[in-house]
Amino acid sequence: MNETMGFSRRAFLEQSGLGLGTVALATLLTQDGLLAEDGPSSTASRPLDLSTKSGHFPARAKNVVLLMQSGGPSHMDMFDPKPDLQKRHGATVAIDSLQGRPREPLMASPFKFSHYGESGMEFSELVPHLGALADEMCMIRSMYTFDPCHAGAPLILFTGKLEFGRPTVGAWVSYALGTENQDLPAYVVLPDIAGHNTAGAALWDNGWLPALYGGTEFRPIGSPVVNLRAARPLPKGADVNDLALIGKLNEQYRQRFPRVLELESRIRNYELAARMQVAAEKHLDLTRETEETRKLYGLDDPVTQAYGTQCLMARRLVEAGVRFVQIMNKPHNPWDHHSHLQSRLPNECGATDKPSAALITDLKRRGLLDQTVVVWIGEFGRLPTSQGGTGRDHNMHAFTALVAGGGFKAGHIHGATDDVGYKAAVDKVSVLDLLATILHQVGLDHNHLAYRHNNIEETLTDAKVTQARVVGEVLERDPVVT
Amino acid sequence: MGDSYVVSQLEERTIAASRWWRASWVVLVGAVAVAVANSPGTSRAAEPQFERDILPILQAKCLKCHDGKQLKGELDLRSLGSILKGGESGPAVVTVKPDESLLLERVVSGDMPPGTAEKLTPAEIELIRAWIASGLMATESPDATVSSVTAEDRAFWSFRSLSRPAVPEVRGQPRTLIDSFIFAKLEGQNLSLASESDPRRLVRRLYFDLLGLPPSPQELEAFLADTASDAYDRLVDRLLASIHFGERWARHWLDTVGYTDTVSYDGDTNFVPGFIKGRWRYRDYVVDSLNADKPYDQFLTEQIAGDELVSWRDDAPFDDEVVSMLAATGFWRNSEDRSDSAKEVVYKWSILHETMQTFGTSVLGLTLRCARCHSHKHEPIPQEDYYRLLSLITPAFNIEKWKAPKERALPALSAADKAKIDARNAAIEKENEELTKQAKAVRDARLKIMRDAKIATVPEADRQALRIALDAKVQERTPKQATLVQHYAEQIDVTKEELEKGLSDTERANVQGLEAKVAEGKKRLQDHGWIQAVYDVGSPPATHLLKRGDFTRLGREVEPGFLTVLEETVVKPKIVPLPASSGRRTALAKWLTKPETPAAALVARVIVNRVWQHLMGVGIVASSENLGVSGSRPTHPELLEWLASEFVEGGWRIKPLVRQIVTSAVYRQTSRRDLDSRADDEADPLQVDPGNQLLWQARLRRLESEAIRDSMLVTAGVFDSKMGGPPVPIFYKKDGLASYDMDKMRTPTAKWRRTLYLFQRRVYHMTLMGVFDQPSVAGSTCRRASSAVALQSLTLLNDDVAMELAEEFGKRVYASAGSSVEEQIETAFACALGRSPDDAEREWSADLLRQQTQVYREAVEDVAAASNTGGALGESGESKNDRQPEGSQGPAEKALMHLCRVLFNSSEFLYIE
Repeated sequence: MNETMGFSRRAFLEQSGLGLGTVALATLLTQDGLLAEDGPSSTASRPLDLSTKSGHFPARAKNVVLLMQSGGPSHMDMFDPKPDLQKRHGATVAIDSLQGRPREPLMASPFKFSHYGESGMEFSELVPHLGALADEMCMIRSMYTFDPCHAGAPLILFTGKLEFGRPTVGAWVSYALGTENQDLPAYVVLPDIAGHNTAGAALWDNGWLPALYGGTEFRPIGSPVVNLRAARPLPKGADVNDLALIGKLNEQYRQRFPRVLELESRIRNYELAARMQVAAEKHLDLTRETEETRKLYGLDDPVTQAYGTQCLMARRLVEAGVRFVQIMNKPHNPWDHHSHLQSRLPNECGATDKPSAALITDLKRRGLLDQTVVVWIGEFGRLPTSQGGTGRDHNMHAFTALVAGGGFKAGHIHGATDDVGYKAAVDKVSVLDLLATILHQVGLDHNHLAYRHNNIEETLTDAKVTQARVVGEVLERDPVVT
Repeated sequence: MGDSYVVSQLEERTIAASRWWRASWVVLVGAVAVAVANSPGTSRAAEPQFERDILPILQAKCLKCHDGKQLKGELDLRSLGSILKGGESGPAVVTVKPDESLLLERVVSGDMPPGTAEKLTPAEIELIRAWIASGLMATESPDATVSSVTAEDRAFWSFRSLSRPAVPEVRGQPRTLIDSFIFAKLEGQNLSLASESDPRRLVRRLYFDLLGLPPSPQELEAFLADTASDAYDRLVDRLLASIHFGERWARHWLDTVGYTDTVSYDGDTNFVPGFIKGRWRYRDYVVDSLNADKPYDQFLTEQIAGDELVSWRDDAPFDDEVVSMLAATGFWRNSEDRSDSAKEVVYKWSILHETMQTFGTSVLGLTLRCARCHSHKHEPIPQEDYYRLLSLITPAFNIEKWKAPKERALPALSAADKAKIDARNAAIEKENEELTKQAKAVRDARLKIMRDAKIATVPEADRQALRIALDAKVQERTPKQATLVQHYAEQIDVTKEELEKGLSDTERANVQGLEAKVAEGKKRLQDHGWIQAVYDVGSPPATHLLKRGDFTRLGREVEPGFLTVLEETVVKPKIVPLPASSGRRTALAKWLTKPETPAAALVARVIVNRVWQHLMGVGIVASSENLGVSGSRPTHPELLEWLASEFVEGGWRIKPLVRQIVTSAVYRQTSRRDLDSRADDEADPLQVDPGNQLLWQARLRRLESEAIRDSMLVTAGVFDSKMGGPPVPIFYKKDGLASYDMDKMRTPTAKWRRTLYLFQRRVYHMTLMGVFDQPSVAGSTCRRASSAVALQSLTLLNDDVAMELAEEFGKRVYASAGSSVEEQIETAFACALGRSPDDAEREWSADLLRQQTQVYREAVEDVAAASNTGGALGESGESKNDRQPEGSQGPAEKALMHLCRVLFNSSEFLYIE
């Protein structure tokens, strides 16, 4: 097939645009085998488009929403109360201060904790809205990671390794499962309007997977997709005329090379672009939300408005069938409280607690939470010791992640840190374990989801080496063994 | 050996786990290994293991004589391999059979160690017995010292020396010898070549392939008017001589070495950390070398060891040659290097390994990465070879004497000249330091007053204690003091803003005056260029084999050497040390380029195959990054051998190779073969060779991202052809779009320089480039992907950069064609597509111009009617770039921009036929 194109199968396979996914094309590709060159390496090769595909086993969840909390939220001040830490305030302990700063004494949390819900899960006074959802939540208190820096830790959390240029979990999921709405990208990223955090766009990069699996940025204000509308103002009607001629010229050129399917894709890409203009704006028109919903997300309050908008957009995208949604919070690592934790942490919680909870509540009442994995996580936690008297330094040995929906146990606490919150101590879960578990819930086996690149069979978790595993203990049902 | 080489599952897992931490936190390595070892179900850990349990006994009791130097009884007991090989009495051990193992027999009987030497204890003997019984467990392959590479491995097609094949006899009429090889394969399948391409399309193809730019309409017409029989050949020569050739082909080479203008971690939109000055000199070196048609063996040698080719460590002034040779070694500086800020050893090792991997892929077409941790599973590359090779660069990447990017960058001028500049700068800096100190003193005095005022608000009971606690050093405070400080920290904090507001008028004037002087001084500081070079640092460190690739687990020391599979026998390389350099990289370069050797043959095949790929769309070996056993096989093995032989014999020159290929009939054939008109006795190519591997027609190829933008620049008539120098700055806007940074642009037209000169980053590409598959730069890219996604359409239609160029294109057409619609259409097609429109296209284009003129007329009327409310205009884009004031063009002129926009969006514009 496609004998006229130099790139043979590979390039040809990558052509399908944002989910043209015609059945005929998909069938052709599946039959093709896709071996020898870079490409899917499993024996059951999958078409490289965004049509919906089934995973390795029946999926428990369809969508994933990742709420990234950059900077390293302090678990001891929000989710992981440590009576010993309170008692031993001021005591000196043996702790590696990762940045080589002078050793400082333990610092008690200045915040009060209380029990919430039937599960009695503890949350601090800073996050009452999340606390109110205790019975929806699986709280993993024994998270740990492998790098203590803002540069490296997010890369590990999203791509499995401390290396630039690898595909992120969202890219793997779109590659494996495609998406339901062919008028929207499979993998959408909602960055803060003010910009990116450290590691930036590497956190939604397709790496060496074909470009169509990378995350597409949707902006929270104005036109949601970059270049959806002309950057330079055009009079009404001008676009339509241009598109008509583009269509004619490209159809004529396609006829010149009747056997090159890529030229067909180019024509349809213009149609898709037009559909996307409509779809993106339709699905993200938040003005159509009720006053009650807008309030739920805090859109009426300047403090919560920005992050609330991102959360509400996430719900709309899940509703519209987008497979993987990633919310990135504002630049300069807002959870990075090296100083003035007592005043800055409440500010950050104030801006995010209500909208995060609203997303879960809203998904639940629309019957979407069960099929959506919602993950609230930072790249690492913070040390139980003080830094400069008012803050806490980075801690890669322990932090807390919250997961709701998607078949994760509700009202459940998994794992524990040591007496003061310095290290995960019981039932430890690495960030790679969590990635493996998320993949599992959408029907994918992290050991078998592979892609051959530069002659190496790559996976997200590289479990043969890293020992990453699905954490069955946090799931409602026993994990599928393949 | 397979059976006797037992590694317990535990070992495998522990080792594997620690391998992965290479790029992680050092502290963790030990912890993980211990954790796994202590976990349940790992009882096999109790079984004796060679390196951990047996070797120490042998070292203590046996190696005095059996150490490879003395070799009593020809027996070497230093490694499992040599133990199995045994001595004059045969193998020293027999796996799982302690009773048949000589080693055990001799120590049990007490014969060994001989005489009065200390005998083995019963416990030690039992340990050895258990070790043999359980299958000789070891972490290292026992064959590591005795190479596992076989004659069969060496006979693999790409690992042999070149042997020039005879040119096949064919039935058809080949234009060049290349064609004979192509014809032979085609004729074997009863196929034939397609007819020659239409000259317009062919010339366009040639321009893009050689220069990465389209021909101007004048150049195209001049060629078509040239009826001499050698017109095409002369055009080829002219293009090969163009300065743009080097720019086009530098892009290909820079892809394979993973060039970026950044050095360190590159993950922030507009903040690029680390010392990056002078990176571009390597890019320019590559461009210049390709333009000069520097022989490839020399090109490689300079990049690998340019610093060892010239004398630069003395005080003599740097001439261009010295700068160029040092810049060439930038070849080794493409791995992400954040050792400026991340000081841990693990990061340095990771740079070393990534550099090796890129070297292997770019120069050798082999995946070396696997051999870092274990002997390669797919390729005949023993782990030992990896470290032998690595030891050739460890003198430059000296872990113990590591130089971070800022420390190691070399000034691009002589030591004497630099001393002069430094002295001048030092005087200015000293003065500035003094001024800064004065300003600080003013602020500090005020700060103390303000802070004391805040402390005075602290309850009296705590006030004095707090003062004392604050005076103590942070580390020396008692817990009580720490608590006190923490408690009042916010209350007594004076923020910067508060301090600035609190300054008296006199103080403020004083501070501002001092700071103005400092700023003025800074302006007087003189800069000089930098070179990001590689050179040996200190004497060569010992290089050890790393067990499972883990730098915390040193194996035996290895000697410098090359890949065994590319040598007839294992030979010790000839390394000639220089006064201040080990000479190891020079030896590496010599090994890679010594004619008539397998190594040089592989190197030649790799580059020849890539040149073919860039001209024909796919390499003769499709996997151009991998010519090893696990790579694809050549479709035309004899042709590749012949081309590589010609290449080496002709002096390793790229331009003649390019000429040879582009003058062949196979290159010149059409990409749209009419299959209906084939001869009756010919096979149907779609049946016989649907993938067109045999080249029965040319391949339609989409332009790479850079060529698309460059082509738009030329078509729009704004192309700035300035060569070289620091990169064109790029800015990332908050809305996620990346465009030019006009604030930092050196000249107004610099934004229209070739894409090669745009600031090259790892992930942050200009939007227009990113959507057209400009790769994320992490290691080597040997083949570009070519996708067709909807974002490409949206970008070409709506992106500010694309629209600006469409506007410029419109102006160009108007300037040249005036108001005649026919002329306008003719000119626009000629510039964008290199051809005249057909009748239908002419009519459609005229329709568009008419429609859009009408649209603009109505818009103007609406605006007038709406009296400046702007109701008729669409959403207004926020563009920082300079824009033509509205209203300077009439509706008909504005409409032209739309025809230009359409042509940029046409498929034809994006493809090489």
